[in-house]
Amino acid sequence: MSNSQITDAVFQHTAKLSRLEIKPEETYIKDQLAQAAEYVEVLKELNTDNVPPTFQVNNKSNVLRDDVVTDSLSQELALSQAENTNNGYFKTAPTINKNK
Amino acid sequence: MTDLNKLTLSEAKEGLKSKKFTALELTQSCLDRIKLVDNKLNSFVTVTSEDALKQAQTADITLPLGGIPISVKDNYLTAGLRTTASSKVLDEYKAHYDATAITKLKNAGAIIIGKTNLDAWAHGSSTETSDYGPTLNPWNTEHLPGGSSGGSAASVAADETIISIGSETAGSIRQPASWCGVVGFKPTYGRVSRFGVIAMKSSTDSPGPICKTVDDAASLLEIMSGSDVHDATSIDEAPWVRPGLRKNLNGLKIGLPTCYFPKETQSEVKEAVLSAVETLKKLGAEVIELTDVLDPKYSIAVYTILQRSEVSSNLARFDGIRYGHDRSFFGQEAKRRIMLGTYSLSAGYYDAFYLKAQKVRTLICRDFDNQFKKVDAIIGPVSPTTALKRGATEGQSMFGEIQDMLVEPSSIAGLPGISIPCGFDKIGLPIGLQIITPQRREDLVYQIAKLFEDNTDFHLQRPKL
Amino acid sequence: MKTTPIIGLEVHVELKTKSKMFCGCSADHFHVEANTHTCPVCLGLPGALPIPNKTACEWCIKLGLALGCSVNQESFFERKNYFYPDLAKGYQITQLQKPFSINGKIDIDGHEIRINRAHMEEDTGKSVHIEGSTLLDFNRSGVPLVEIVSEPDLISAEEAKKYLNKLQQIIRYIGVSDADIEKGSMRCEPTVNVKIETDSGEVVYTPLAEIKNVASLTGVMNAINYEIKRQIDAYQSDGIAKDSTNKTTRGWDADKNQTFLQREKEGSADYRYFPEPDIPPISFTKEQIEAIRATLPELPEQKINRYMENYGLSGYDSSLIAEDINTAEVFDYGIKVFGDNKQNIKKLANLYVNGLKEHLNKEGKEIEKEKFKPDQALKIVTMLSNNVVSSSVAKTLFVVVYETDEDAEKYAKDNNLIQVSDTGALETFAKEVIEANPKAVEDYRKNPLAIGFLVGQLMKVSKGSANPQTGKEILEKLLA
Repeated sequence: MSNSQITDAVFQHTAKLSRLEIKPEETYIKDQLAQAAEYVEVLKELNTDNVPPTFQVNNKSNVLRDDVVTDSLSQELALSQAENTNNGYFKTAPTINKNK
Repeated sequence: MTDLNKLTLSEAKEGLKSKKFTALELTQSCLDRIKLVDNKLNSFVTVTSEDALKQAQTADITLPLGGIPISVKDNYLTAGLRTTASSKVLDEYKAHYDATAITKLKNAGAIIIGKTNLDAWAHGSSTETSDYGPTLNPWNTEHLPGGSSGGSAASVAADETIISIGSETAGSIRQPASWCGVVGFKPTYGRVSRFGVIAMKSSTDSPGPICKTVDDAASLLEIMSGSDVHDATSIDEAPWVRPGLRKNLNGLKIGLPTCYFPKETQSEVKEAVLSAVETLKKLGAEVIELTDVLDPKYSIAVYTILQRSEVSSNLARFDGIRYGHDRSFFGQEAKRRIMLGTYSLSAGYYDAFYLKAQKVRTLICRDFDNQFKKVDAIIGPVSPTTALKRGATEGQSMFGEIQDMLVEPSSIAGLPGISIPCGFDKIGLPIGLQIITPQRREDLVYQIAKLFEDNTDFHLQRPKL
Repeated sequence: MKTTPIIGLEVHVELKTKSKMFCGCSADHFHVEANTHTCPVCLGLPGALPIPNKTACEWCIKLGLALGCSVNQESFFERKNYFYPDLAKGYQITQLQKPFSINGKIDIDGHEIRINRAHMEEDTGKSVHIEGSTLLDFNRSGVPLVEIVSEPDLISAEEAKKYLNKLQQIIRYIGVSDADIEKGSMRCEPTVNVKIETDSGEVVYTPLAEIKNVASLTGVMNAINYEIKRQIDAYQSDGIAKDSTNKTTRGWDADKNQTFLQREKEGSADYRYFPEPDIPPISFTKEQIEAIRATLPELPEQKINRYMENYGLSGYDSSLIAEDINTAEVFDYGIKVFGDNKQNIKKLANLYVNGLKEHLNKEGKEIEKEKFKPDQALKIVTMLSNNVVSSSVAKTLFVVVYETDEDAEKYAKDNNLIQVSDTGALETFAKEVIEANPKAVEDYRKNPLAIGFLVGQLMKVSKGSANPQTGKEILEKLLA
């Protein structure tokens, strides 16, 4: 968890996983990432052996719904906010290389 | 009648009922005020004058909020109405549906007059990181309103609306309420449905009211709360109902954590809170110093890791295919948070960051459990300082976390809390007092806050714009 | 050099619940107008929250129990984060640390294939590729999926096929999915590599390859076989062995009948799993699990054993009857009417398999319980036992009473299908046969075994109504 661990490779990999394009002038984010990573080092001061994690704070469990069909959005409404549509479909850049 | 916009919710309801004025006049008065001052404040991202006036004409004033103008933080989805979360990614997004809280407010007759500004995606404590420019503090426009619900708090403080709703993940209701000198009521996690509120940190996001008085906030919470079939984390209870009033605070033990006055604390803030302690004592409460409360610095670290992690996942859906613009429209702050979250969750770092933070979260919850064995409620300053100046966030990647250090522990534990005005600093900026209780004890939060308010006059002062 | 394929299968099964996994949209997406079954949840709109489908969770456990799994009493959902246009939320809700069901097995001809897990997750939307762009339909987004992951215990394409057949059979038995590979309600992704023992005794493993887009059972077999050969060839030319980073993802091109490289270095995929904060954990008491177990039907293996042990049926007949649950249930319905008469049940099985089932197979039809009349079946079996009809007539009758409302006995009489054991009548037929077949008579005199041909002719002349045993005796008497 120390500063030096955020190498360029890790930084670029993180950007790729985040699907973000980091412009050259934004590489200061790397330093801030390191700063934040360093800040959270304080947690090491606390012993958490045998301490279970808390993922939920209000102790709920087993919230399930019955298998009942409810109304869907109309196709028109579903597509209404999309920049590109085609014949009832959302349209986006091609995702496969057709040449295989 | 003039200045209808200055009315509290209770006053406005009374006036409508006794026909002193109409819903149309009331709504028009708020819209006029917005026209007059919002170019200075920028509380609103979108003002919906036309719709609001149309609704006001046919308002059913027999409903609990019939004909009452409300401003809504722009991270609540409002069907057919632009909903941006103050990010250009959603610049032209017209929400497909209404958030549960919005449905409830609409059913209660409230009239939405506009959507208020926030830190983009609610990432921040200043409302300075909005893609639509910062909101400014009505008490002094050189200063920030706090955030992320800065637009909501400012709109209430500046009397641009009668009531407002914000959302808090760690301070986003209480801190701007404190800096703007209004009442911000953050309910127990799950008390108000999150359905339709753009997710930030799902495991602590808590929608709630920002109003001019404690009673107004309670009225709004009564309407917004209640379990929701669309939110599996909403608590299984009927809508909250405020309890009867207390004559005094006899027999009540109130804790004052010594660590809630960190070295960053402004002296006037400390004085105001200590003076509030005296008021509470006079009202009969026993105030006990808590010297062993877990240092808030751990909460900052826990919050930072968990918030970034959940944000990195919650913002993944914004790919520009089904709605909104693509990911190149994210601002600096969002990018920074997504990056840190992705990093924290990455293979090899999960245990050291995310899991460790969730374990420390357990320690924070246990700490509150222990403190609440000794006291019924905990008080402290909401923020170590009064409203900071514009530009304070620049280059400060941990700005929000430091500002919110006194509200983060209770948010992480899902506790209810309120911020109420308790004084002013030398240059006239408001100071907020927070009251925290165990989960689901909004009744106690309300009783203490209401009695404090009834015995002080800080809430009666208004900014001179 | 000795080579042993190592094959593991990841199978995704779409549950046929009415509604989707985390919202109330209809789960039906086959030939449905695009984007008409979507809502804020499955479209990944801002602010939408998932609520798990109770039936889907129970079915995932039911399926696990049918596969001999144990159930995690405490489990929770997690987010698997990755970007793809058909993944509405930018993450898939799934289970990594605590799947509903773990540690099961399927027996393939005595070889135990271990099942690592059967976990609950959601499907993605569907991409349609057109010239220059990709079209997206989110009707399938959020449809419940159970992912069944085997250990790499399979050793051949043939065994993989048997595994999939058996899985399909069990899934259909418990009725939680159509498990139709062609329609996409069952999808398989084999992961293949090969253990190579060189002549010098060295043991190496070829790099792992996960194969995607296989859309048929034959495809699975062909892809595995192709991949085994490709990997052995590759190893012989480049000598690269498996390591922790060189797993690849390969696609299957059914037209060219070969796999092709899709993604390299799969080892570095990073899905950033974390517990789904929008869904509280799910727990099941032992009683609840047992209640789900109690809804399991008798499974194929149990049925086969019962048929063999209780009624002395052959393994072959038993598995044919147990092949699908409908056929088995109709047969069991017959058994009830027949009581405990082993002999009759054996005859019933024979007529069922060789008469009715063969007929239905020929017609390409599914068995319909309403059409099967056990009382008529019992009549036919009794007629057969009493030599009133021949076994071939019995088969015919079995089909007739299934397809029509005829009474077996009346139909047999009306159509002269009753076996003739009356010696007078049979003598007339026998004389006719002897007269018409001098050559065969000649043969018989040289070799008594040739009587078979004459008996056959006798049956023909009598239109199948002759009792072959009595007919044979009369022929022998006349020719003595």
